[in-house]
Order: sequence, then C-alpha cells, then structure tokens
Amino acid sequence: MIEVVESIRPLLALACPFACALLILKFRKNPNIREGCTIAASVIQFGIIISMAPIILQNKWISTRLITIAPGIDLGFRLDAFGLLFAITSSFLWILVSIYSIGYMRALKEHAQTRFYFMFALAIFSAVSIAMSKNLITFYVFYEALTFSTYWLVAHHEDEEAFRGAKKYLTYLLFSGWFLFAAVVFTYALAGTTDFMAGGILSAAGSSKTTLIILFGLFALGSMKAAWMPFHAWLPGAMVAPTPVSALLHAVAVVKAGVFGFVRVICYVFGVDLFQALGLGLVLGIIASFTMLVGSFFAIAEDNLKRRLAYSTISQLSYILFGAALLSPYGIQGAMFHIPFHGFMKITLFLCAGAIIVISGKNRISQLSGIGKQMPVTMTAFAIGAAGMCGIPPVSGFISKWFLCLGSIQAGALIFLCVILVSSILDVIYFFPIVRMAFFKKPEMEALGRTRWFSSMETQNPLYLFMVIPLAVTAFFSIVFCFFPNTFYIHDLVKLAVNNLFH
Amino acid sequence: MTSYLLLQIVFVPIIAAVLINLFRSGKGRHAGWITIGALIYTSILLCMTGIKISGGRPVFELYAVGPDVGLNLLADGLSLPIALIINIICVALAFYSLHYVDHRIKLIYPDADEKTYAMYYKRFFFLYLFFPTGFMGVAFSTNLISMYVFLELLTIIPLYFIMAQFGYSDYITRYKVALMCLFWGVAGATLFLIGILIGFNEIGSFEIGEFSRLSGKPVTFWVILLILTGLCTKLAIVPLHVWMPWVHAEHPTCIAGLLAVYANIAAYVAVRVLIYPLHNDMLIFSVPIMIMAVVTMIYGAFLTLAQTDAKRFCACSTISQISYSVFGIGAMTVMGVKGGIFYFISHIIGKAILFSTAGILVYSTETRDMREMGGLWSKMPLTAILWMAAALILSALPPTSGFVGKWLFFTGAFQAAKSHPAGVMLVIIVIVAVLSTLLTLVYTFLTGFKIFFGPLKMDSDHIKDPPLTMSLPILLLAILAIVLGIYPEPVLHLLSFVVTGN
Repeated sequence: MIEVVESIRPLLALACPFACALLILKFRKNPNIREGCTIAASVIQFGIIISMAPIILQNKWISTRLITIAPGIDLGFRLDAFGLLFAITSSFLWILVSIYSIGYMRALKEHAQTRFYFMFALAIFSAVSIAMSKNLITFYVFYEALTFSTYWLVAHHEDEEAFRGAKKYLTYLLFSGWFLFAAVVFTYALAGTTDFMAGGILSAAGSSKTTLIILFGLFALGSMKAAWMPFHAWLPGAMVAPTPVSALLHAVAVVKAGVFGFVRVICYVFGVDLFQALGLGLVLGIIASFTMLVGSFFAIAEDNLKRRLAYSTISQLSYILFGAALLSPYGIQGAMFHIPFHGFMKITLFLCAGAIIVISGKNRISQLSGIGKQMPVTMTAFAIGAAGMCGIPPVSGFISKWFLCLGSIQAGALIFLCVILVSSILDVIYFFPIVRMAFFKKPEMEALGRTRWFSSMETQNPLYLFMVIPLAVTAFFSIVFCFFPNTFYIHDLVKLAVNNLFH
Repeated sequence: MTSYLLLQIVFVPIIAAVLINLFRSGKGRHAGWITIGALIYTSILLCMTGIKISGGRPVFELYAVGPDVGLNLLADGLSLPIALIINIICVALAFYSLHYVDHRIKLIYPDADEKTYAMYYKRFFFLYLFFPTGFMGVAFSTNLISMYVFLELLTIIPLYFIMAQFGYSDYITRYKVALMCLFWGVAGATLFLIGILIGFNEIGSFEIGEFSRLSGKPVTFWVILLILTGLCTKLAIVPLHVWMPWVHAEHPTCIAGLLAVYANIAAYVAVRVLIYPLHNDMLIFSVPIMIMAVVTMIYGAFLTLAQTDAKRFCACSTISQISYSVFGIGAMTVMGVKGGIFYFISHIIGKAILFSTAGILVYSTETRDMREMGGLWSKMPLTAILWMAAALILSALPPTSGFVGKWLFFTGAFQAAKSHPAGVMLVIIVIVAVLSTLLTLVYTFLTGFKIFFGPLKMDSDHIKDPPLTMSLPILLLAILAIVLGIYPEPVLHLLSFVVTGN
C-alpha cells in the first residue's frame, strides 16, 4: 500500500510561478528585475520539485488538499512518480528557456514583453499543476487554464498571421476541452470518484462495454493537445509564436500535458487490464502508428524549419502514445522515458531554430547552407538533438526507443516493431539533410567569409550568448541522459511508476 | 426585527413602494435610495434566516387568508439560497438603475419638465419594488394559490407596466410587445392554475406538502403535464420561446437581468411543486424534458450567434442558458437537481452582468448594433472586464460558479443515464448537451472580441466607462460568482438538506 504524506511542498512549488507572475506585473517598468524574477522563480521551483523526489522514491505520495466543491469533487494536488517526472522536466526547462527568452526577446526587440513573461509564468503554473493533479477534475481545470494562458503567447505578434494561428489553436483546444469535460463528468458518474489510482478506477463490472468505449472516445478527443492525427493542425499553426514559446510550450508543456494526460487516463483511470480487455490498446496503437508515419511524411515535405520541427513533434509525441498503447511494462517504461528525453531533445532543436532566426535571420531550411561554419555551437547542438530524435546513441532518444522496441516485442506485436523502425528511418530522412546542408554545403553568399570559432556570428552580440548557452546545456543534458539515465532521478521514477502499475 | 422574518422579507419592498409614492415633493431622487435601503434591509433579513436554517431546521410561518388558501411561507435549504441571490441581484440592479433610468426617461420623454420627470423616476422605482416581492413570494410560498398570485403579480405589475412605459422602440411597438409579454405570461400561469385546481379536486388541499398524496393516481399525469407546460412557457422551452427575444430586447436594460430571473424561477417552481413531492410520477417525463432542453440549448445558442443587436443577443442567450438548468433538473437525480438549481443561481448572476454590460454599451455608444462597435477596450476597459466575467460565468468555466453547476448537473445526468434502460441513447444525449455548451463560449467570447478588440470604429468623447454606481455593483456580482465558484460549500450545504431528503 502506498503511503500518502501531507505536505505543502506542491503548493510552494506552484506558488513560485504564480508569485513570479505577480512580480512581473509589479516590475513591468524595469526589465532587468522582471527577468531576474523569472529566473529566480524558476530556479527555486526546480529546487522544491527536485527535493520531493527522495520522498516519492520511498514509494510515498505527497498530497495537498485544497478545497472541496461537493462530496467527492475536490481540487487538490497529489504527486506521484509519473507526475514528478513531468514536473521535473517542465520546471528544469523553464530555467533554461527563461534565460533564452532574454536573449531572444531583446535581440528581436519584441513588443509587450511583460505580457509575454506574465503569460509564460502562468502557463508554467498550469503545466506544473497538471503534473501534480490529484484527480481528473483538477487536471481539467488547469488543462483549460493552460489553453487560455498560452493563447496570448501564440497570438503574441498580433498580426493577421498570428491571430489566424492563435484562433485555430484556441478552436481546436477548446473544442477538445469540452470533450474532456464530458469525459471527466462521465467518469465521475460511472466510478464515483476521479482520483487517479495506479490500477484504474473504472471497472468492467459496473458498466457496459459500449459505454466504456464511448468514454475512451471522449477522452481521446479530449486529448487533442497530444496532437494525434487527424487533430494535429493546430500545432504547426501555433508555430507563429515567438520561438521560446514554441520551444517550451509546444515541445514541453502543452503537448506533453496532452500525452501526459492520455497516459494518465490509460494507466490510472482505465487501468492497464481493463484497457486490454476492451481491446482499446490496438485502436490506440493504430492511431499512434498512423500519426508517427504520416507526421514524418509531412515533416519531409516542409521547408520552414519551425514547422518541420512541429511535424516532428507530432510524430514523436505519438511514440509516447504508442508506448502506452502497447500496455506492456517495457512499452510504458519507454513512453515515460520519452516524456523528459523528448522534451530535452526537442527543446534543443527549437532553441537552435530560434537562434538561427535571430542571429542569421533565416527561417527556411533551404537557406541554411553552410550555416554550420558561422554558428558552430548552435548547429552542433542541432546535430545532437537530431541524432537523438532518430534514436542514435549516445543521445538519450536511444534509451526511450530501445524500451519501446523491447515493449513491442514483449507485447508480441511485431508489426509495431516494424512501425517504430520505419519511423526512425523517416526521422533520419527529414533531419539529416539539415545537418548535412549546414556543415557540408557551401554557403550561397559568403557574407562573412570563413570565420574562426571566437569570431563566429554567435559571439557578435552578448545577447546571443543568452541563447547559445541554454541550447548548449540542453544538448549536453541530452547526451548525459544516455549515459546516466538517473540524472534528476528519472530512471528511478520511471521504474517506480511502472512497478506500481504492474505490481 | 427577528419576528415575522419571512413576512417582512416579502412585504417590506411593497411598504417601501408606498413610501415612495407618499413623498410627492422633491426631485424624486430619493426614490432610488429608498428602494436600495429597503432591499438591503431584506437582504440582511435573508442572511439572518440563512444562519437560522443552516442548522437544518427550516423556518415556517403560517398566515391563514381564507379557507384552503393561506400565505404560508417556508424558508428551507432550497428556497433560501435562491431568494438570497435574487435579492442581491435586485440590490445591484437598483444601484444600476439610479443612472440608467435617468438616462432612459430623458431619452423617451425629452420634453418632460422637472415635475413630470420626477413622477416618472418615482414610478419606475415604485414598480421595480414589485419584483423582489414577487420573487420572494414565489420562492417562499408553500400554498399553490399564493404562489400563483405572486407569479401573476410578477407578470402584470412590473413586467407589463415597466415595459410599456420605459421600454425601447416607439410608443406603439412598446405597448404591443408589453401586451404580448402579458399574454404569454398569463397563458403560462393559467395552465399552471388549471393544473393545481385539478389537483385540488383530487386531494382537497393547495398545500405543496400535501401534494405528494396525488402520487400514483391516474389523474396525476394530467396535472403534471398541465403544470409542466405552464412552466415551460415561462422557461421559454422551444417551441414556447417566441416571446423571450422580444420581451427581453425591448425592456429597459436595468431590469432585463431580472427578466432572466423571472423566466428561470419557473425551474425552481418545477423542483418545488413537481419533482420534490411527485418524484416517481415525474420519472416518465425525465427523458422528454432532457431532449427538449437539449434542443432548446442548441437552438438558442444558434439563435444567439445570429444576433447583431446587443440586447437581443443577451435575450437569445437566456433561452439557451435556462435550458441548462432544466436539463439538470430533468435528470431527476440528486446531483442533477442540485446542479440545476446551482446553475440557475449562476445563470441569473451571469445574465444580470451580461445584460447590464450590454446596457452600458448601449448607454455610452448610443447604438444597439454590435457591428458598429469595435475596439472599445481602449475606451472602456472596466466594461470589457465585466463582459469577460459574464462570458466566463455563462460559459461555465472555472473558477466561476457556472462551472460548479455545470459539473454537478452533468454528473447527475450521466448518473441518470447509467441507471436508465435506454442508457446508451441517453449517454449520447448528454454528450450532445455537453458539447453544446461550447457554443456558449463561442458566442460570448467571439462577440466580446468583436466589440472590444480590433480597430476602434467609433470615436467620441462620451464613450467611456460608466459612473461607479453603475459598474461597481455589477463588479461585485461578478466577484460573488467567483466566490461561489471557489467556495460553493455553503449553498450546496443548504441545498442538500432538501434535495437529499428526496
């Protein structure tokens, strides 16, 4: 039996971004203090979150009860291993992205920076709340909060293109939110509770098979944040946002909240056994495989760098759904590993794309010839991230892919093994031409001639260092995770979560 | 002060109305303040009653009027929260009216001298005070005849007279619309009366408490059907909704919020008169009510989307919103009824805010056409915030009271579906209902964006936030809705005394 510890630490962790948001408003006149608040809050938040890991690893849950709306319906936080995994990922990356934003936003002289940082802090607040949610109802509330706070970030440029992208974003996600609401209410009516439990809260005895399948359909439609096809169109559209937003929110917080929620629903609401008995694993597996392959094809055809990364995200997110759909211990382990690992790798790629836009002003892949010589650190980091996406050691993507392959063998679904291998090849096809062009192709215009390391474009402006250092750090961590998967307790947490699921 | 609590609550407004008429001299300004004072006094009394009954024992006061008919007043966990919230809305809208009526009279009767002006001003508040009396009467009556009287009072005095004298449009249209409103109101109430008379024939009593003796008799079906049809007329359930957009749109905006209450209070009557005593006989009506409610929801929402007139917009939204509480009540499970009543409370707060905001827009831009508005955010930020608050409440998003209500009644509906023989079909109906709530979000926010964002279409110095007496009470209502959303426990606690005993 899992012991539940009452503690206010989850609340403290959430108080950081919330207080930060208020301080940002307070210091809107003074940009340096404003950004200082963001960084300080992010570091403190990460400290608090990581300090909870040793407690969680003793197989305990940390819980905080907030308010009760009606008997059985309460808002509250309860942190378990799986939630902590997501919380660690988003809070750590928030530190790096805060630093990065300083360079990006100031170098481009963006307008409304206070609103940007304010909404960013709120979005992180919602994402970490989602990670810590005790039950579906809390989860739903912050899921919607995430949608609303990120709307302003997507629409940041306030031009026609931005509004179009943001409108699409809002339409998809709100529509999906309504399905999620229906699903949550329905679950409550069926099970009498919405608290996440390791073995699931629904049972086949209480309700007919059709009802449960309808419920799954509602949950699936409610998880459009996971960008499974054919409900993915909002993600490339949202790439009109400033790059730090695309990086943190559309590689980590928003889409990860979607898949995180989906895995939560499968493992902690339905329960692995019930999901298997309903035959839904196969359905989800097919959806995920379809998205993995078709997303990659879309990516191959795309020339805009950020949009290609977006399609790559769509494809990679489905690896996580795929792993969960296998319903085997290794498969779920792979899915859980992929949440932090994909976060680190994809954020590296996005930060690189942003750095390229700011430093060289280029945003199309066809313009990138020879850029590796002008921006060596950025493109090296990009190459590392790309290798990770394809699952090539020594980058952490290798580990998650390894477990996914093991999982499909364990589940006895060899056809899924083929899917994952084919998809990896497709990843290579759309990522490596970029790397090849950057390093081996002659630039069309020798703007700066041959440059040496210390005089590269990356060091021209001290602001650029704010961008280059974070992306180097994430690339570095992507490699570290491959050799030491237990950095930030990730390996132990995943192990613990899977053990609890499969006793 | 503490004796005759309920009697005071019902009749103090009327005494205040008489007082207003007694002060013949002066500019008539004090009429508004007398109204507000009386209503604040009754609000305090309501709070005291609330504290009294929070222990679980209802307050019951008996005043016999004639054989079988009495003015028996009962404040229990069901009637009190509703009465309290309605009274608070009445106070807020009385504050709002102070300025608004002034503006209205100057617009309709431009050549009135000071004396005529004061007369109209006093007359408005005189009539206004019949609203709280009517609402409190309906909420507290336990005798069907007195409940009927209060329902009629609401239709005839405030609704017909205020509309005819202070409404929009020209003189002829105004009277026509007022007359239509009267006809529909009386028709509904008459069906209700026929129903209770048939019931009386059977059991020989008008007391709601005795009504449960009808249970299981063959005639009960017809009693329920008549009463239900009467109430559906008030609730503007499709196809009995024709009057609603007209009536709401042509009313002076300061009481339009109360019209949403007028329509929606029938949901409370349904719970009190039908579902509570006659639960088992009502069960066969459950699915038809839910289907009608879903149809109305969707129809009302699309009707709203098609509107370009700021006031009609709110009116059509009422059609759709009311059917949410009807839907919850129609599920007839504990959670469903609780949620339906809670949503009723939330809707009237939200609608009072939305109507008043629309009123402010009309007041300062001097047009009702929303297509001509745009970019008003820079001119009237407070109004924009109010609109957004109303949008949040009506589209039932957390952390507002709407969310709690929506959550509760949809849970109730799913529970009803679970135990119903035609379960899967009912589940699909419920899912359609849940999805149709998305339309509310679309029409409130989309319209809000169109009005307040984008390029500024009109430029004039008098477009600015209204005086504080207009905006502050509305803002307080919004805060109330948020408090109820975060901490609904007191209201739910009161409701559960009655509903769980069902």
